[in-house]
Parts: sequence; C-alpha cells; structure tokens
Amino acid sequence: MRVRAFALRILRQMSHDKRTLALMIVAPLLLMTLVYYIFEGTNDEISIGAVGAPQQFIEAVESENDVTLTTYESRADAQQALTDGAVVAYIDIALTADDAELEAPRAYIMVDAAAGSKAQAAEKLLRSAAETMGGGAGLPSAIQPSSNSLDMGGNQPSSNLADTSDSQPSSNLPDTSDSRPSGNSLDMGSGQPSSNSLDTSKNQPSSNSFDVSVDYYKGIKNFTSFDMFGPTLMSFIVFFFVFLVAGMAFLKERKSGTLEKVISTPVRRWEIVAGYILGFGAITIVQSVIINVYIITVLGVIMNGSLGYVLLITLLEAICALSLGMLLSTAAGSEFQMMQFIPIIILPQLFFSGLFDLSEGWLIFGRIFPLTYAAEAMNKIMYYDGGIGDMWIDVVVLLGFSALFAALNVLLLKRYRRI
Amino acid sequence: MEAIELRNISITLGKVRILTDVDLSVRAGTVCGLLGPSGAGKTTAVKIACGILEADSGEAYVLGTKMPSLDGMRNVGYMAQEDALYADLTGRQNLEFFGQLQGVTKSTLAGRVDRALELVDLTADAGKLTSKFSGGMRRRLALAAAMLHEPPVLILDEPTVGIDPLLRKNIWDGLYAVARSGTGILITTHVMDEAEKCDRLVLMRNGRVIGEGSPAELKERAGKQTIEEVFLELSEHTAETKGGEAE
Repeated sequence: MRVRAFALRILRQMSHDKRTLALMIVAPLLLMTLVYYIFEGTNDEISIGAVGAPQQFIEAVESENDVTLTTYESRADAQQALTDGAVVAYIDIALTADDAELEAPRAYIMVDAAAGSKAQAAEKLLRSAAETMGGGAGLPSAIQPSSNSLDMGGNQPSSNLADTSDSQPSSNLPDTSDSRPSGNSLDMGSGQPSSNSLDTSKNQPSSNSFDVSVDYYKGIKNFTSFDMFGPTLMSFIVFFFVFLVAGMAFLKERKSGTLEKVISTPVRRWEIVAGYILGFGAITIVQSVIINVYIITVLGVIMNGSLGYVLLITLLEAICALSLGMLLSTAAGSEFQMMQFIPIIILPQLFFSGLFDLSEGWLIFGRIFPLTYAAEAMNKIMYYDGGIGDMWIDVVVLLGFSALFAALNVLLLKRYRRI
Repeated sequence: MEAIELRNISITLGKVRILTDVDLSVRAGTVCGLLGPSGAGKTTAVKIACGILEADSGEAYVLGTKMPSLDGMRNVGYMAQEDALYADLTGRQNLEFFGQLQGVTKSTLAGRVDRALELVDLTADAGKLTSKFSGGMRRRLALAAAMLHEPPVLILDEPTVGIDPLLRKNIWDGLYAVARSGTGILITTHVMDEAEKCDRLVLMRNGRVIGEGSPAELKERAGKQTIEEVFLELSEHTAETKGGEAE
C-alpha cells in the first residue's frame, strides 16, 4: 500500500515535470540519433597521391574499395597535398618506372601517420602494390600478370581442392611448398626473377589455390560501426539518465524536507526504497520500449534477437541504475557531491563495457561494473539472437547488483531514522 | 493518559548540546504551547516527540508508547517547520500521498482530504500545483497534511507563520475543536500573543525548560501583565542562577 503510494506519487510528479520526463526519454533518443549520424557519416574514403605511377599501378590501387588516387606532376605537389591534408600518403615512382635500366626499381612513400588508421591502411596498400609492381618493373609486360595474379585461382580450371584427388598430385597442400607458396600476388616481387610469375601460372596449373567459401556467423553481414557501438552506448545512456534522474529525485526529497515528513509517518525504510524502484521502474519500462524500438526500427541497428529480451535487459539495467543512484544520493551531502560521483562511478563503466578491446586484466576489472553485464547481454541478444540460456548470468548479476544497492540503501537510511 | 511525555531529555547534535534535561507533557484534549526564541531547542524537542530524532538520554512517549516506534508514529500528525510538500504535485495529490503513508484507507481518503482542505480554506486551490502556492497557502496545506488522518496527537512546529490574522483565528478555532474532541496538541511558537491562546505553556530557553503552567498561572506567579514579561523575568532568573552556579 505504502509502496504503491510512493510509486503513484513519482508517476504524478513526473507527469507534471515535463523537463525531467524529456531528460529520460527524449534526450536518449537525441543522443542515439547523434551517435548514429556520427558513425554512419564516417568518411571511409582513403585519399592517396601518386607521382609518375604507371597506369597498371593506378588501376590496381583504385580497384581497392574506398580508395581515391590522385596523380601529381611532381613530388613537391604531392607533398603540398599531404601538408594540406588532401591525401594521407603518396607514392613517388617517377624515378624508377621511367628508368628501365635500374635493376632494382625503387619507390618512395610518404605517410602522414597522424591520419590514424587510414594512414596505416594507405601505407599497407601502397607498399604491397609497389612491391607487386617492383617484381615486374624491368619488363613492362611482366606487370600485367602480377596485377592479375589475384585472379589466378579463378582462371585456372580444375584448381579446386575437390578436383585434386583425380590427377594432380601437386595440388595437395604438402606439395605447395615446392612451387610457390606466395604465388598470390603480394610477395611475388620480393626476390624472384621477374619472368616467373607469368610462367608459374601456365606451367603449374594452380597447385596452390583454394576454393574459398565464406559463411557469416549467425548471418551477420554488413556489420557497421553503429551496430558495433549502438547497443553498448544505448545501455550506457539509459543507465546514465536513470541514475541521474532517480538520484536527483531522492536527493530533492531530502533537501526539501519531505523526507523528514515521510519518516514521521509509520513507513518502513524498505518501503521507501521499494516505492522508488516501483515508480521509476514503471517509467523506465516506457523509456526502454521507446528507446529500443526507436534505435531498432528508425536507426536500424543490428537486431537478430527478440525485442522482449532486449527490453528485459534494459529494464534490469535501469533498475540497477536507479538503485545505485538512490544509494549514492543517500550517501551524498549535496547535489554537487552527487555530480562528483558521475566521473568516478559512471564514466569508467563506459570504458569497461566493451567499447574497447581490453587486455585480460582490465576485462576482469570491468566485471565489477553492472554496465559490463548489461552491454554483454545486449550484444548477445542483438547480434547472436541469444536467449535466456546465453545470458542468465548477466541477468542474475544485474539483479544481484540491484538487490545489493537497494539493501545498502535501506541500511544507509538509518542515518535519518533508526527504525 | 498523557498524549505526549518527554522525560529528562538531553541531546547533543554534532558537538552542540541542544537540549538539557527537558521534561514536557501534553494532556489529551488540550493545547500545549512550547514557547521560546529561535534556537531554544523547540524543534529538536518536538522531533524527539514524534520519533524522527532520538535523545541521548531520557525517554519520549506518545500515548504511552515509547518513541521512536512505528506504532507511536501512527498516532502522530507532524507538521514540520519547513513546508514539506512536493512542488510538482497538486495540493490534493500531496494530501493523498501523505494520507496513504499514514495508512488512511482508500474508501475514507477522499472524504478526509476534502475535510482537511476545508479546514485550511484551500478547497478552491486543491487542483493547483503547490509550486504555484503562496507561502501562506503552503503552510496551510502542510497543516492539512498533518491533520488528515485525524491522529490523536498533533505536533505542529510553528504552524501559523505567514498566515493572515483572520485565517489564523479560524485555524486556532479549528485546532480547539479538534482538541476538545480529545486530541492532544503540542504547538511551538515564538509569537507571544499566540501563546496566550494555549491551555498550557512550556517556556524554553537555551535548551532548558525555564517555566510552565497555564498562561494565567504564569502571569500571576510572576506578577506580570503579559507572557512576554513573564518570559523576560524567567530568562533573567535562570541567567542569575546559572551565573550563581558558575561562581
């Protein structure tokens, strides 16, 4: 009865406090939309400059996905483009490609490493392309086979593993060592005489190619950055806002003197805590339905599992956040102290919740945070269609955290009234 | 039976001694005024009476039940010095919440709320958010919240601050009506002329009781015309004896 009175009161207060309601429901939607556009709007295009590159080289590089190659007249021009940030790396092969008399062709690559992963990708790409080219640099014609070498398996008849049994002993894996382990383009140029790449493919049909078939686990293809971070960030945002709103509400109860009035009635301490959980729990049900449906249907985050489980985990996590928020607000002396808990208690959870690939030790450390379990369960459901059998540990741990926080809170309320 | 009884209460909060050997009793069916200047310890004394605070030594009873206890609290209606109201609820919703906490049953709640609103003349404003209430209206609503469950013991901390004189008279009439039906009322005040309206007075200064009796008795004993003069006389007296003790 009294528990229900608290819950009803919280719902009524919330209905009059549009701003707080917006903080709990609209703000997470806005944030997730923002996150969506940040990840989806990421420019994956790698811009590379080239000076004096032969046509085959340009074609080979441009055939890669998300790469644009700009040719420059001189190295100085390319350097200027790199300085301006127009390209993350450039290659200068003007000297080598034109000078057929040079035995060992050389290329010069300049990389702006501060461009991050794009620079790394560009370096790798240019390096392998240049090495491939280098193998055939002496003979202009030899360039062709080496750039085609990726297609080798496809062009040759009967190169499939399935066919090996009938005639070609050389196609067995152990035999490949004698032929050309690196027959596929990348290493070709490294030390081999320039003539062999073309010959290889003719004389030794195919000994070293596999018929590769790829399957996608749980049918997940086209996994975007938003899919990667969306579920975890959503968990964090829900956790954060529920923590904040519930913690502040409980703090306000104390500051406004209403807690004193409340404890002058024959209410039990646990009834206060349970009432808050019931009231805010009801609000978080609405909140989690709206947020989850929004990011799944409107933002189109990966969703292979059941919505029911997603809602269950969101709700459990929200209850955990609100019991933690109440506990800390009971412990806090002021709104400002409550704010101080955010960098200490809330933000670190984000770092350990699976957004980053952490070492074993840090992963274990992350186990002390509720959000880790919520994010883990969320990924299991949304990526792999996990059921209760896959995530029961997360469910139990989240419930355990909630119970622990609530129990501590009931104890801590003794500060205000012993009985 | 005594509605409220404090026996030999002493309490220290933080490092400050707030109350020293306070004895106080309120008979059922009477209005007892706890009179003293700000800082005398009135609020601490009433909080101990209603079970929010516990004394370091001494005992507190409500209708014979030792406080703090949930059973005792059921019998008390407490109005705090600050208006303990939820600004984002309407007047009626505030009363409904506190009524439910006090255990008023669903069937009687609406009627009790109506009656309490009527007593404090807020029936017309019951649907407004209390954030829109004036200071006096909030005070009246807080009073209504204390009386809602019709408890046999009322503890009111400065209930009439900021309420206009006509309404104040109505409230006092209302309180007397409640008292005559058997309720024991303990009311703190620092307004001397309000003290005159009480059946009995307990005068406090610096955490000690410096005098008690009906207003008429107190005036007669001290040979003074007003309670204010009585208070000054008793204050000087205790200051002297205290000074004497120190020597």
